Amino acid sequence: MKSGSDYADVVVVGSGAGGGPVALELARAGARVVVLEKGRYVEPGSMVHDEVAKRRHFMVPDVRDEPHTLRYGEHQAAARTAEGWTANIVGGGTVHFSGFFHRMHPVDMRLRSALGPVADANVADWPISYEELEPYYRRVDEEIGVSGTWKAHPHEEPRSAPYPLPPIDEHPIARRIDEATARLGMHSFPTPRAVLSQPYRGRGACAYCSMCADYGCPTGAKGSTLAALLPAAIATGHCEVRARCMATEVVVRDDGRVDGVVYRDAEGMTRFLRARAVVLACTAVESARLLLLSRSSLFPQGLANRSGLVGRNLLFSSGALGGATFRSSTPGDAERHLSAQRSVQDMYFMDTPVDGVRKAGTLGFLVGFVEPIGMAEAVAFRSDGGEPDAVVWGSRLKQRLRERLSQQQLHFESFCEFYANAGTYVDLDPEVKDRWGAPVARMTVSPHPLTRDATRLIARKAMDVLKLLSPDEAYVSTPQTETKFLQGGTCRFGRDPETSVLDRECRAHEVPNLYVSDGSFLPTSGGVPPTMTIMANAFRVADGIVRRLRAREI
Amino acid sequence: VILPGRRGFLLAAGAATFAALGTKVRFDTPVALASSDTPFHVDLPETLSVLSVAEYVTLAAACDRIFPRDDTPGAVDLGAPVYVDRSLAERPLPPWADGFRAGLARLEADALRRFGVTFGRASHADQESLLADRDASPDPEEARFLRNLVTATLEGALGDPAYGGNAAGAGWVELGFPVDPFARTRMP
Repeated sequence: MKSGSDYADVVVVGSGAGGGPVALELARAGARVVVLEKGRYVEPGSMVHDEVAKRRHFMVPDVRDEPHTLRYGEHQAAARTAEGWTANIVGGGTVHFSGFFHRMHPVDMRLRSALGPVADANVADWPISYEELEPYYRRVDEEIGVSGTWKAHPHEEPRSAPYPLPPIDEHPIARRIDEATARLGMHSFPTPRAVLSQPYRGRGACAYCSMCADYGCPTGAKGSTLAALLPAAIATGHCEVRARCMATEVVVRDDGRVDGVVYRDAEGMTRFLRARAVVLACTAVESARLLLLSRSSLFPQGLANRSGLVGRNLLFSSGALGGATFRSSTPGDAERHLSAQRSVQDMYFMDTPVDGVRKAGTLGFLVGFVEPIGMAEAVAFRSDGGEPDAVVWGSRLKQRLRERLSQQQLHFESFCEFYANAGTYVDLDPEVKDRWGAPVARMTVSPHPLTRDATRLIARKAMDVLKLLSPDEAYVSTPQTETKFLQGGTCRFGRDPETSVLDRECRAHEVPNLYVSDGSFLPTSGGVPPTMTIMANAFRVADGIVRRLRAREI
Repeated sequence: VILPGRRGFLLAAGAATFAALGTKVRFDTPVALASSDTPFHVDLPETLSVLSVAEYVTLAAACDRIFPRDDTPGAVDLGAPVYVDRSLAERPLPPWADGFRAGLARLEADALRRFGVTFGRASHADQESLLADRDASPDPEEARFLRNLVTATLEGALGDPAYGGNAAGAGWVELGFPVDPFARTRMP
């Protein structure tokens, strides 16, 4: 399509897990698509492991220009933070994710029915079933190339096809984890990864540098939209990705339909892009903010927000962090940095409550990669399990760093149900504005007691496993936190416009040509990282849009 | 580069003798040598981006205490002070930069008040007590400055060489970090 045009069939705001699949499928169907991405474009081959750039928040916006604000409970003052941004780059959070590509389980789509009423939580069944989503999970597997092992454990979700690629090679410690979990009556299995274990569709296989998390992939083996979806979308000739273009308002016509998107381009100019339909996919926090900023006489509380529900029911993934230190290490691979590649889902959903919990999530084990500055800083500031005391510096710092480098670390993390509740939401900060004068997103977070209990249960089980491995030390460094890269819920989908923002197609109940295809639709967080599910749902949403475009309904 | 005035100040104070940027600053007075075996030498870079020579000397001496040379290179060998100076000129500023120069000034003022010499001329033991005092200080600004100083020093010693520190990657190689083939250049 003509570059720089001020008309598109569909504008997609955001190029990550929610935007990439929509852009690709619409472009394949012949629709003219413009993707607006506020971040810059970085050539995949330029994705080096630059730890200094990471520490200067290369992947997320500068908090001095574009903060979020965060408070734990309404009694607190909200403080400026970079948290709640997932990315600021073409490809979004998929550029720097680890690519733990678990599917959600059938119970996640009917959690309200499975649990019954949960006091002080807004647990809801989805308007679609796992079976309706399954073909789209399969499509993600095939489009981006997911590596894994089918029929590896009894808690596995149903699948209609095996993984297209065999699992990623693993560190020998994986076998010891398998033995330990078996002794405890649990079932560890190879973590499915959005990382190519073999060359696939013109992309190269994993080089086993092990530095997926927080870094871009230099070989293109990681299944980011940047590497796996956007090139195919652009190759159709129907899709244009406009980098460094920040959507600032979705404009509505007098008839209540969306007219297009106002955005600030790379030169700072305000421009308008007219479209037949608009798809928001700039994360649960920012999609909600954009709707709330898009006020008009028809929608004085923000677009598609007559219900007052936009921004409500914010979800994160709840996690516990910890690990173990081994002074005598299990020998790995001299050439390749292999990870433990193990997950456990025995605590996903329990028929009989354990520690008062029936729904928890996924426990993961990994051999961490070494970030030189991060490791030295952890030693200096004793954030690695040691007691917080004076800062360590001088010859003692170098000595401890050498010890640390001679030890093996095995880490655990978890992805646990975050129960939606009235105290956890996004709204516009009444005081803080970004450098262009727009109110920023304020996150108010009040984890439900069940979220805490479920997360601690997983940490306890992780410690049981680690202790069986005879480490020199095992520790829980963080009993419960919210992983704010993993977010959802602010525009919940459902059948009833009184209790949901989007319909089952993820189209706004109140605006017939407005869609939201990022994690905003999620009524429940699931006990896995939501990215795989966001991608699968985005493919599903795209099919619905294509159908309505062809029927001239939008 | 903002040299002449600062150089004049330093010379007037009698703290150091040196010719120009790109040369060594030698602290070879009896005071400086009182409790250390060798005089403290700083190779001044060809240019300074933000810091004055006096600030640079204070910074280098502090980096040397935080990550000293032993059988592997120390922060000064690796170019950490150069990294810090260059980083203070970059936008966006690194997170540790907030209040950094004010913290250096307080460190220098404390050295003069307590020991009668600039921080760079103080003995290693006195330098170490000045740094330790910051961590224990009831003023949260001082504790924050020490942490920022440690962070900046470690970034300069162990970050990517393209930022001006970690000369030739020696911080990684000589300290024994696993070799990462994708960690040799700066993000564009």
